[in-house]
Amino acid sequence: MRKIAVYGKGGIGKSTLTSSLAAAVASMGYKVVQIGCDPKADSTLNLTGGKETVPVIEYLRQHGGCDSLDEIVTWGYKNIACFEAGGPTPGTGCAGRGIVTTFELLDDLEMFETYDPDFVFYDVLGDVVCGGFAMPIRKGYAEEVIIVTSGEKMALFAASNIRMAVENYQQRNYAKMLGVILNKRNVENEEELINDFVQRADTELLGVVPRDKNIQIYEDRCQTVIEGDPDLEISKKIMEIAGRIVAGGKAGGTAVPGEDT
Amino acid sequence: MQVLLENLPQYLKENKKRLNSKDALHYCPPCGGGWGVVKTAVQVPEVQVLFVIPIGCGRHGAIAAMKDGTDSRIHYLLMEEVDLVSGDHLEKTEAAVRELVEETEAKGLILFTTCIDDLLGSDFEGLIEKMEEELQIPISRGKMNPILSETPRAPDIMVHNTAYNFLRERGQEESAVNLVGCLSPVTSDSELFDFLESGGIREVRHMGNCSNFDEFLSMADSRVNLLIRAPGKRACRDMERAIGLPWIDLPASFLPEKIDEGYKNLSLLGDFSYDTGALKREAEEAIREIRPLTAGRTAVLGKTVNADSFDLALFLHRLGFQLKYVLAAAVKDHEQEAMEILRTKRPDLPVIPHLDPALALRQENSEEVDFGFGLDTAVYFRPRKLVLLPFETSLFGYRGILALLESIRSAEPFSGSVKDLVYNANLVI
Repeated sequence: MRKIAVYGKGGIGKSTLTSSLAAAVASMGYKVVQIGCDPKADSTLNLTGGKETVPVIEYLRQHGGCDSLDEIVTWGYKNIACFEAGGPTPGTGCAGRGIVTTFELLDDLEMFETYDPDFVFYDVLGDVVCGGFAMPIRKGYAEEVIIVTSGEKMALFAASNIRMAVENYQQRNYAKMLGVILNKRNVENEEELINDFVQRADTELLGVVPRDKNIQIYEDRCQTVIEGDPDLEISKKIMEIAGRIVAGGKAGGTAVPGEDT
Repeated sequence: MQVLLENLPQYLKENKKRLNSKDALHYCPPCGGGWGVVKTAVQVPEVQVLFVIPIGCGRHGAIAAMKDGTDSRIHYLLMEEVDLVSGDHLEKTEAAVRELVEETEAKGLILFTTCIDDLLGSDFEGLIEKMEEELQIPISRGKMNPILSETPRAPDIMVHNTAYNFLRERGQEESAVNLVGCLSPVTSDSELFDFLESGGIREVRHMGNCSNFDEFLSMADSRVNLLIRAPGKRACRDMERAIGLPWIDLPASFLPEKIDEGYKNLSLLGDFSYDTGALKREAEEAIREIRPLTAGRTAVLGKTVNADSFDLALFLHRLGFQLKYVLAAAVKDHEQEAMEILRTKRPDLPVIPHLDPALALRQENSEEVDFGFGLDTAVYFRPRKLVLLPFETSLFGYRGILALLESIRSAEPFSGSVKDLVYNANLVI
């Protein structure tokens, strides 16, 4: 079982990319679980055709407890098991604790043992801001981390921050960096900026996702491009990246200006 | 609010398994203390305990420890706001652990954190791993986090995990078993020991009876864990996963058919020559003999009694008591059957959640009853006779029934200060 946490600056395209990668890996025949770690609870919408997954925190608010995985799972594309942590409304409560509560509940309900997935993807909100949001990269959860970034300054700053947190935790034998995915914004010298970051971060470039309108088109239909049309160039690109992830992140290469790796 | 037994399942459905509604006001009972996480944790011999806490949380446990005489093993690292917000308290904890281990030469350490670190998601697991490697002593995390009281990870459940987390390497001692889940050891005159001995079990271990840390660690070598009370179940499951130590459910009960069932389950372990039949007949005879004393007498069953509420309630009903109220916290899984039987016989029986704010309105000189079972009944009612089950030991089996019946028979008319009684029993905190 491989457990991979996906981090990156808010709005960088983590959820879109995570669910696309989950779909890609599932379409290769693997059993996949995706866990959305975000109070917005929107991580898995593209896998479930828009059907909302009952967020764990919302379920616990209503029922006081949860005795069965069936109450909080939604089955998505290619039988991907979709969970959403959910969390408080903006301005209240503690979203980080919501993630801890969700993980503890999934442990209590023996999710890993029951579903025995090949891949688990944790789609984690924004930056690593407190203990709760770092939960996915702690012992027993994700063993690998992917950072999604663009070449924009603030995105790279956030990526660097996340890299620092992972490095701190690596000293405790927690999750290690699997690599970086460039989700292009077509800023100037984007490839050079990413190559520089990857080198400084001593990690791999897993792939480059070009801007493609089809992502938006299929997202409006609550689908990933993998499900929508696997023959699209963007779908093939994502399948390639998924292939690298499945292979353990090898042969990442570098981003080439004007070409998509 | 009190709930009639006939409506209890619906009430529980709305509130999960705990009787006190999460959406209502709660009451802090004057005898809500006793076996807290502190008292339980220090049962592990020769370990030191470090609390990483804000000062308010620490005071409560400190007073309890002073009253129990265990305060010399309990230490505090007090945190302030900036420590928590910055995460500096983790580094300070490392320094405190080093200092404590060096000064006390501790064999083991229990590191307690509070609701605050639950909310922060602080990585104490990583800290503990690092300190264990550095200091070469086992460290177990404890949580004093009543914020999770209504969940499967309630502190009274997880404290068993905290204690048994020290058992990490398994040996093989076929002639030893452990008693788990009961905070106080089973009374030494219980036939359970005779029964086990008849099958070659020469040693019955309970953490409260271990005189030193090594003896406690030897519990990992035992053949099987016998789960006497439900709060230990999670720890049993985790020990089975972690070190392959199997467990058998052997709930303490006052119902002869449940006791029978327990010994039958135990017989799966091997050949036991002890015949419980004679003792069972003795208990049944004693039940018949006490009826003139109990039949038609009014009684209230309190929450503080050292027994499972609905199991004991059914037993008291069978003795002929006219139960007026049952104060309880939850309906445990293995009590469901007893509760259902009682429900068919006494659908009108009021069950009061022990944190119900209505209890605050009951004064000492309120409703009179013939018998009160448990110290809290003297707080809320006026029992003519008060029956107290032992607190520092646990009744088990047919001799448990006989001991209970003797307590009923010998109960004296109750007079004196309820407040003194509660304080002297160390039940306030």
